[in-house]
Amino acid sequence: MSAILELEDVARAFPVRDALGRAKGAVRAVDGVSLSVPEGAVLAIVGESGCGKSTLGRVMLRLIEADRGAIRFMGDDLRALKPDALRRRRRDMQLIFQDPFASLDPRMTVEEAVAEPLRLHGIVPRAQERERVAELMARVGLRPEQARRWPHEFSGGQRQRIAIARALASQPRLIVGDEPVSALDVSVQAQVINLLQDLIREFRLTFVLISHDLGVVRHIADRVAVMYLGRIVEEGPTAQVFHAPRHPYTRALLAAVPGQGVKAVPLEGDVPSPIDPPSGCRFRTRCPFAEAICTEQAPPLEGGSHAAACHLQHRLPPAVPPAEHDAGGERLRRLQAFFTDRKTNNTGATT
Amino acid sequence: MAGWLLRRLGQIVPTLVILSFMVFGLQQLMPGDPAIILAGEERGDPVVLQQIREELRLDRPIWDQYLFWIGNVLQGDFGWSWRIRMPVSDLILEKLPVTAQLATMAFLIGVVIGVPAGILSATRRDTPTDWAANGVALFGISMPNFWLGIMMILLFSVELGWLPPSGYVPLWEDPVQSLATTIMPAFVLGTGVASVLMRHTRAAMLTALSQDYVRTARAKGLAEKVVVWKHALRNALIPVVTLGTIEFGRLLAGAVLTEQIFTIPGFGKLVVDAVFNRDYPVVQGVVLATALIFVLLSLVADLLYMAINPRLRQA
Repeated sequence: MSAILELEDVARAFPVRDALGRAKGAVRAVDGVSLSVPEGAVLAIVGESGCGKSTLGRVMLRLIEADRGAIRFMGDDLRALKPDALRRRRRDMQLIFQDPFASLDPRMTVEEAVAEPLRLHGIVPRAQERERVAELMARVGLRPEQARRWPHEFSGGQRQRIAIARALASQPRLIVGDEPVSALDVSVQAQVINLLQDLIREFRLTFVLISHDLGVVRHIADRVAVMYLGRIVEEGPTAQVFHAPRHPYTRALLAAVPGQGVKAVPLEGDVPSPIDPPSGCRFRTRCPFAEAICTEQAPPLEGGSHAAACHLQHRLPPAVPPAEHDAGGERLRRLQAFFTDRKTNNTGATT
Repeated sequence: MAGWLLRRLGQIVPTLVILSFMVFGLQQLMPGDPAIILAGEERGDPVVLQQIREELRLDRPIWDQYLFWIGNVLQGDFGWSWRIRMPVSDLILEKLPVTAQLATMAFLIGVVIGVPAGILSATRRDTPTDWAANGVALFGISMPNFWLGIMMILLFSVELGWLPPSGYVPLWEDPVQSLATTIMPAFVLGTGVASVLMRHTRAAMLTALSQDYVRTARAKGLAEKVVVWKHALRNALIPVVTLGTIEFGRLLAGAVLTEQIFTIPGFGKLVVDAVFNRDYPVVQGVVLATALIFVLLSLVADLLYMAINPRLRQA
């Protein structure tokens, strides 16, 4: 599979100012990330809050400018595109936000919001706009006659469906979902995940899922990238990362999920400040295996298809294999199965 | 909706009743005896004073005076001016167009300067443009109207001789001269409105611009101009419209100092003159009329708020 999106050493820092507006340093939210998103794959970016995953998601769509690095999307150097060319390119890359209450313009009806990309990018002739909006709404499980309503008349799950319809309208190749289900109730989460999975398959979408919910990630992602303090510490096929994590941080992260199985030493202390990250390996201050080299050198991300950024990755004691029991994922699968049966008639009323 | 409107109109009544108590009560605290002022040369004659007091019912207990006045008001009779011998309602209707013209001009100046400045300031946050707009707005809020008025008269009337320093010509008599006499006071009043609107537009725009739906709009591939004008501004204007309506109400209530400086015969001047002359019926009538205008405008503000905010439309 060829890569639809490739990042090379991408970084973005936000200046921090004191009360008088003097520069005090910078939060290095994304600090040298290289990542390749294969076409048609679901790639999950996981990590604790504040690790830079949302910033990364926006930088890769150039909604936030990167300070350095290269972003190649469908053959274009995204960072070099002129504003007009970039806006045309946006047709192919869309975004779904976490909070469906904030991501829809309160002064636009659903129809207007979904039709705007259609008109902007000339997807369908104007005469067919309404028809296409109805199709899109039906596709995400909403009743087309609800199109004239305002966003506030819908529940969270329905709004997220609207946001998905809106994202699909321009027929994108890539969608970045920034925690697309974490603001929703668990039962609604399962329905929306079902929907996303169906749509990804149906439209052959490439999907970048930004999430801290490992249960969801394990379920729908083909590949996982684990972020810590602005860097990717491990990246590989989902099954391998979950069953044989190679970075101590990934192990700790997996161990924190009940029923996820991997046993690891619990982490001590807090995430260091991204304004002044530790030298060498950023995880060393909390790593139970840290050695001298970890302070001196930043470990490169290496290991091919399943890579980790850890000097000791080949010398770590083996992770305790995960137990078969997998409570979080199991619950999600049960819910998903439950809603799959009635997917044909779950339009709206329950979400 | 109809029920809401009725309830809302119903709330106006107690507001006005309480207000009428206050106007009536506060006048009693004013020093000076209206009878003595009205008697003029004959103020030494107790018979004349007694006559005036009886005629104006000043010899009765205050509750009796109040009930007599409010009873007439409820029948549409605001009484007669003690001083000018004219019905108070005629006086109000005579001055209202003057103040309305001044208020409308000041409001337009305020909106035309304030709203674009707020948008510009928000879209260029933390740039020299933003700092300059904020500085000017701070100046506009802090600067006393009478000082700015005097400075403008000195510059445009005394030094340059472009505009008349004071007076008023009605719009229907001589539109050009009318604008010439009102443009300075309107500008003086408008600067205050512009500053307030600028600050609020800026804040509302900054809030709107940081919303996810604005990011969504950018992600759709919309041009920045469309993002700002269509998505951010339409949402940011919701609170600004409400505020603007209230500001307009304040302008209509009359600008005492500004009208005094430019000798514009509007509400402000009317009420000040009436206070100095202890012309109680005029003070009461003008205050009540102003309050009514203000209360009705805040109702308009609420209606506008509902009209432009879909979230409240069927509430």
